[in-house]
Amino acid sequence: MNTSGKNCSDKRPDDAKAAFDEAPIDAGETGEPDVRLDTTAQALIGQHLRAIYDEIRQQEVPDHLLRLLDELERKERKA
Amino acid sequence: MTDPQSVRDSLVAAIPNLRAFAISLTGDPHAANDLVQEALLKAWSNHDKFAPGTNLKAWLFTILRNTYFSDFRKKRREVQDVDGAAAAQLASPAEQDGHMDMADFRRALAELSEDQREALLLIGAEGFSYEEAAEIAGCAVGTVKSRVNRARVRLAGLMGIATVADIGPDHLTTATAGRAHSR
Repeated sequence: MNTSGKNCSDKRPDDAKAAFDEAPIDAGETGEPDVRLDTTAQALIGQHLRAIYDEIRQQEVPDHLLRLLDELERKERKA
Repeated sequence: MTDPQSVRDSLVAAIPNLRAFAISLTGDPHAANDLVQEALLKAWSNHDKFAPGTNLKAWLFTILRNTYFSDFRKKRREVQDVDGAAAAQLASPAEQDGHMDMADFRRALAELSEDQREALLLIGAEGFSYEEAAEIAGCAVGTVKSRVNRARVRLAGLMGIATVADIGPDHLTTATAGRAHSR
């Protein structure tokens, strides 16, 4: 019954991922010392981050949240 | 977006991402579900103010993070040591995967300041642009960049990954950040 919540995620564009994993941030414009990670470390952090995030995203949507929205919809239709 | 059916469906479709953000930000699945619920209620009662054609996901994330930073954090601080609890909770749910480095990463993530964790999640996990993230967090684009940058350096340090100190084109020195803690 939760299938409607599963395909939620508009896929992250690949270039966004690349931007995070590879592109050094221009710290110069923030006025901070220019400390950069090598690209391996940066990519590793990106992978870990997305693994944690995606694991949660793939969980079933809790029933009470679906019931809440169904209830709100029902009330609004009546009004 | 005035048809209640389509409002409902759009919100349902956004729930997995909202939960992923809320749980990763707070480190507490129960508080995160409450947070998502409150954000959905607010979104529903304000959906007439949402401009069709603009970024619904960014709008929902804004509501959720504002709810967290204005209400939730204060409430939680009254009853518990937020940082300690977040660190403990983040480490717990999914260690069955057996990846030690993953558990380390969860703990390291929990050690970041909330500002830094938020920026990192919006950019690195959710894939928002720096401009979108700045809009959501209500700060300048440069501030988001700086937070993400600092978050990454801090994470690398906590995880014991080598960092490159880019002092100038001629002296690249590699510094290995030691493990700040081992639990």
